[in-house]
Amino acid sequence: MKKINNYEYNSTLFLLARPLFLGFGIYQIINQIGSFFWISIILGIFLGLIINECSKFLSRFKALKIVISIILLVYVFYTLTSAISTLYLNKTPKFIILAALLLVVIYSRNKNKDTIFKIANIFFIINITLFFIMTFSLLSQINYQNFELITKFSVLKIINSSVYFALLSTLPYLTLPNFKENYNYKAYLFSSIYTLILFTLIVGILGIPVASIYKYPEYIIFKKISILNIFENVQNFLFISWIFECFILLGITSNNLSKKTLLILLFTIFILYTIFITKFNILFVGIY
Amino acid sequence: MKKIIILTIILLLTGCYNYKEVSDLAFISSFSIDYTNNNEFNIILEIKENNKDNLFSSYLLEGYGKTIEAAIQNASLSFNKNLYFINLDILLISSNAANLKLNNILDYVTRDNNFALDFNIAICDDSKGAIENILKKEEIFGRYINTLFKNTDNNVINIKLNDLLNSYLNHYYDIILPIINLKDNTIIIDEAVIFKNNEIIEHLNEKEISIYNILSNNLMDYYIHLELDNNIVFKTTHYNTKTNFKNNTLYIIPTLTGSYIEFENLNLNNSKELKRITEKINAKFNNEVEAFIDNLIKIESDPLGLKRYIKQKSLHKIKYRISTNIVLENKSLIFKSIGGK
Repeated sequence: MKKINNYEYNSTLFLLARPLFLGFGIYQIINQIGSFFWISIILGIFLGLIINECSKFLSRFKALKIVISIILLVYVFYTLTSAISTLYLNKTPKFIILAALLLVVIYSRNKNKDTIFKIANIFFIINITLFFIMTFSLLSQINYQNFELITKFSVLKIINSSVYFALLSTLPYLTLPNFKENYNYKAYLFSSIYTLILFTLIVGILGIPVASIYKYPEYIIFKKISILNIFENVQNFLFISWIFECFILLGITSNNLSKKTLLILLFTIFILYTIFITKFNILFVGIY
Repeated sequence: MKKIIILTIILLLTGCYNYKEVSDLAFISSFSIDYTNNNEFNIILEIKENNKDNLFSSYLLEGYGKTIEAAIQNASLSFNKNLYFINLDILLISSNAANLKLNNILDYVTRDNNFALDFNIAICDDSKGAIENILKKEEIFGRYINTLFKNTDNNVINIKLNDLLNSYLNHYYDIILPIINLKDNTIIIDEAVIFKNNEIIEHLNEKEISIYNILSNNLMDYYIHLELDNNIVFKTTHYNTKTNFKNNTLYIIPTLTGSYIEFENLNLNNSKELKRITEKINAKFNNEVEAFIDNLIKIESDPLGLKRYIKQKSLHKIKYRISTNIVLENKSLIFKSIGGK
């Protein structure tokens, strides 16, 4: 493995703290705690910093790394396939979308880890650019009344949501190589603040009642973007930042598995998803 | 072998297969939904022309069906393009459909990713007449209505899908929607309806709409016409309403900032007279706001979301106090009034 520089590693740290929020992550936090989301997220960030310190120690266990990599691979394949199918390719069967993603992962596994880190560096620059475009064009759409406290204050729910936030933002770090040596808390903090701003935009623009009905509120707010009344309907383009983050996570996790294990896993995922993916929500989550 | 795999991937996964040209899409500008006495949906779609030479023309499709989807299918039976709602400008709902099927309609337009989020919603009981009226002027109805809503000189209720969903899903709010009327062959938006328990309960006139806009801080122009011995028109440039709940009383404090734009026999340089007139205007405005709130309490409908301050599910027996405030600013070009004493 070639030397990975700090920029590349920090870019990966930044990108990995967010992909697990796609789909259920944001939906769950807003549904559970509503108007008090910001307390949960701030608590979650502190909790995440503590977890990351523990992860420095845990990342030494190779078996744990492999188990978490498998879990995250399965989860990200599921959420990414569902997101692409719902938002982009409505008429395409999900197994075709999944097949395309599997091919990307097989291809990235054939490359070294340093290739993934270099790509992460490029994706980081693109994501930050898209983030600034998004934030500045959406700021004017915020309605301060949407921040009024309309949900009941519950300490238990706040703690629950903050633990959920902390786990979703830190779990991918366990799959990183040399985490103990290269971990930089500033990258995690920066990424978490990015997520907090995103939550603020979602709640400020949509309001709690509306934000809590959408599967992908992070996509829905992009529909509101209008730059100088010329660039509209750019939601599909801006949402690509989420896909980039998922790709990096898939690339990192797949590199933790041997080629043979990965092929068997991907084949199993493909077979199981082909049979169950349309029924997964109803069967396991109880949501249509 | 590698080349064959790459070629297959390129052809199958990059959109070459089953692709659609923009000209194959039908961009819908207006979508009207009525619910007939035969328990059927009647929908009208206004489709923008995809033609460079005909940028301001559109045509209509009409269909019936037991469900909204069935009605759309029925409307597009002989149509060879894919319907695309992402550029929708306005959704017109008839009073009947709003009373009976609003939940279905909202669910339908929210669930489908093919719909925009920023379109206006209005009540219209003669949507076909209204759309055809604008089409005759060789304009696109949806675009035309959009400009009416954007013009702050018109005191209209400007409700978009997101606002409506927020009112519908938030139990502290009741729904308010503008009405599009066709009067003497002209489209006007001078009325609105408010709902209680998701059914239309009351119509608001132009003045009540103005007060609603002031109390909910929607930026529109507002004119107070004071019919004293000298006709006076006070026009606001901006306003701000503060609401708070203290000691079991709801305090509503609207502040209007503006100037006199039209009057007869009034000397603006006479400060005493100016003060007297301003106090009268303030009192008149205070009375109007009180009457408006009294009516909302009487019918127990709350489009302003006052319930969120008192944290109760009903406006019944609510104590409130209105304290209006008029702030004068002079933006006129002349010092003295022409013809004034």
